[in-house]
Amino acid sequence: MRKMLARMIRKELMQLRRDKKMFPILFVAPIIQLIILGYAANFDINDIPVAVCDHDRSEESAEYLGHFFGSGYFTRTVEAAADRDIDPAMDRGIVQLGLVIPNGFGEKLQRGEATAVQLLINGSDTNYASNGFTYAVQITARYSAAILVERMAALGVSSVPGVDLRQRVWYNPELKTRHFMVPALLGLILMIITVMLTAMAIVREKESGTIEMLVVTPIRKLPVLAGKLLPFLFIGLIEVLLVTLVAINLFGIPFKGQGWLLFVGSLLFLFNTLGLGLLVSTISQTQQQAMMTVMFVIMMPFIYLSGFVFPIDSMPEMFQYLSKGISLTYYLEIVRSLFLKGSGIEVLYKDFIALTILGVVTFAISVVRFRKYI
Amino acid sequence: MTENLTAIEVSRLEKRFGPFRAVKGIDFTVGRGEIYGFLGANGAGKSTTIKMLCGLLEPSGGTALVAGVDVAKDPEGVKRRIGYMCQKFSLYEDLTAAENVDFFGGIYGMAPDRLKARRDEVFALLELTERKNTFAGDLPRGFQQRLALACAIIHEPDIIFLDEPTAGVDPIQRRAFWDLIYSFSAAGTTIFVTTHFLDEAEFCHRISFIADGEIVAEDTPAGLKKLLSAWRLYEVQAADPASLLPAVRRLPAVKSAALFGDTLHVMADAAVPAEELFAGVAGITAVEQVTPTLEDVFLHIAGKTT
Repeated sequence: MRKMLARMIRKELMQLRRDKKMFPILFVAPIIQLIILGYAANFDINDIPVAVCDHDRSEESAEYLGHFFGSGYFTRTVEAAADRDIDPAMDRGIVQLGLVIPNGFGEKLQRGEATAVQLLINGSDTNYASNGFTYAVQITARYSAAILVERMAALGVSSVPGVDLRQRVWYNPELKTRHFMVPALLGLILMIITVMLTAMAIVREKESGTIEMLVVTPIRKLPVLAGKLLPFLFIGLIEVLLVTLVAINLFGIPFKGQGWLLFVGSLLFLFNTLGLGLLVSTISQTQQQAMMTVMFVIMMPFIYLSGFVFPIDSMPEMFQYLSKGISLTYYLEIVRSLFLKGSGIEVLYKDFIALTILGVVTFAISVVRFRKYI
Repeated sequence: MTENLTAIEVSRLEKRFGPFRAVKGIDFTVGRGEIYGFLGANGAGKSTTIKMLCGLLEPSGGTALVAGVDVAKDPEGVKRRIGYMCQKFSLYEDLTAAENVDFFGGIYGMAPDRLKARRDEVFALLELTERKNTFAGDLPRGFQQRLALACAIIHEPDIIFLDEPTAGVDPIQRRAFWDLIYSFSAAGTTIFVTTHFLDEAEFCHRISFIADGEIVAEDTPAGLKKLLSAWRLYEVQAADPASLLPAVRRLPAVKSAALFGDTLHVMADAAVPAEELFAGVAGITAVEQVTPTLEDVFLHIAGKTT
């Protein structure tokens, strides 16, 4: 039994080594993917281009604009002589926001009256719109508060009652998207590679008919299965190491947790992905079918529902339940917590348990199907 | 020493899939060293029977003893004693010829030095020695066929199952392949072969036809041809054979007629002399009686069962 398993593994490794396309797929593609996604998957908004139409041209308006663009969130891209000049700039995508300062802005402030500025927002890009809006509101509120304090001081009032919100961001102080995304990419890359490769490796033997040759030999199905899966488990673990090293060294993302938790978590996650790959192989007859199934039935829901892109808490309730059935959800939680928070087992044990349960179920179904149909 | 002279003994073997009886209680025996041809149309129950004999499919009824082992009770025991080669010559194309054979030998639990000796022997026999380091995928079709055979016989099985073994191989390679099969048979290995090539079936010692899950005929090739003893086969030459076909078919003593190259093959009642038979048809230049082939037998049997 053990001899047969060794035979299977040796054969698999031999085939893997021979496959000239395999090495780049296994080790180069993930790094490129990591680099591209690590830099591109960036929701941080800086330097939003703004068109400014300053009808007032007063000292006050210049001061307000100074605050606005001094924040670093906005760039003054277009100077509009009239309101209508903002329109074409926004149409052509040159600017995302338009800021209009009305005539009499400075005068009214000097007289101690309230005044208004107009903010035009390109709502077609919700990311720019919501961020730009938030930043603009904050800047304006701070500017008004400063005026108020100044005015009160002039009246001899030394303190103004008010609530000041002091925020401190934990775990990712600069709120860098990259710190959030790169650890999650580990989960994504691991999933793509192991599910896809496992499914393909088994379906390839179906296609070539060699599996038919195997079943007429006295080899039992479990060594065949283990021989197929163990090399990919090993490759998966190397992948974890590789991606973690790139994340730490290239992206400067801190790894605050304990290494053994990452190892155990990855092992449990791989248990899930290998099981899924096996499951796909039992329902696919050709490698193309397997690839399509992996792409649309596994990868899409995994990416969208796992919290990789969209926060789970803001999903409709039904989708929140669905996300609980996805192993990547728990693995992402583990990886993100380990990298950014340095959480220990006392926090992560629930995710470990969930991964174990899902893994056992997936594996049980696929092994039963494998024994029956292959 | 009691030598068992029966390699395969099948008795009332049956396979049901739900209400459908794919194999309806068939009986046959195959002697040791015999080349046994198993013929039948697709869906006739051919592959279901082979699968049961190889221990891949559990019979629903009856018994099958393969190399003395009951397939229902010990399928793994059967697998150890048989070799199997399927029609796709399934090999690992990215492994060399030697690696393919070593892999299968290893799976059969052969010790490394015995495996190596046996591999050299098999490769010499199959003339694969020079190609042993060639990737299986780069081998010409005929060599792939022999390599698949090498993988099937590396563990010295008592019985070899060949499923459409010569599909897509040129006639010279096919002939060479059959010479090998004869040498195995002479050495005492039993061969169970399925084929679509009816001329090839003539190489078998005995043949059975399976149709609709039942064996409809079983005999030596010569014996099967005797089934046609009430009929004679004629080769008819004519300037335009196709135009004569309807008229020939209408003749009362003719059972069947078909175009065969630029001649007609006509099967007719043996009781009617040839001169009399074609008297009423104009345009025939020559009539010659020919020996029926297994194909004629097969068409005759198939015509009876449908």
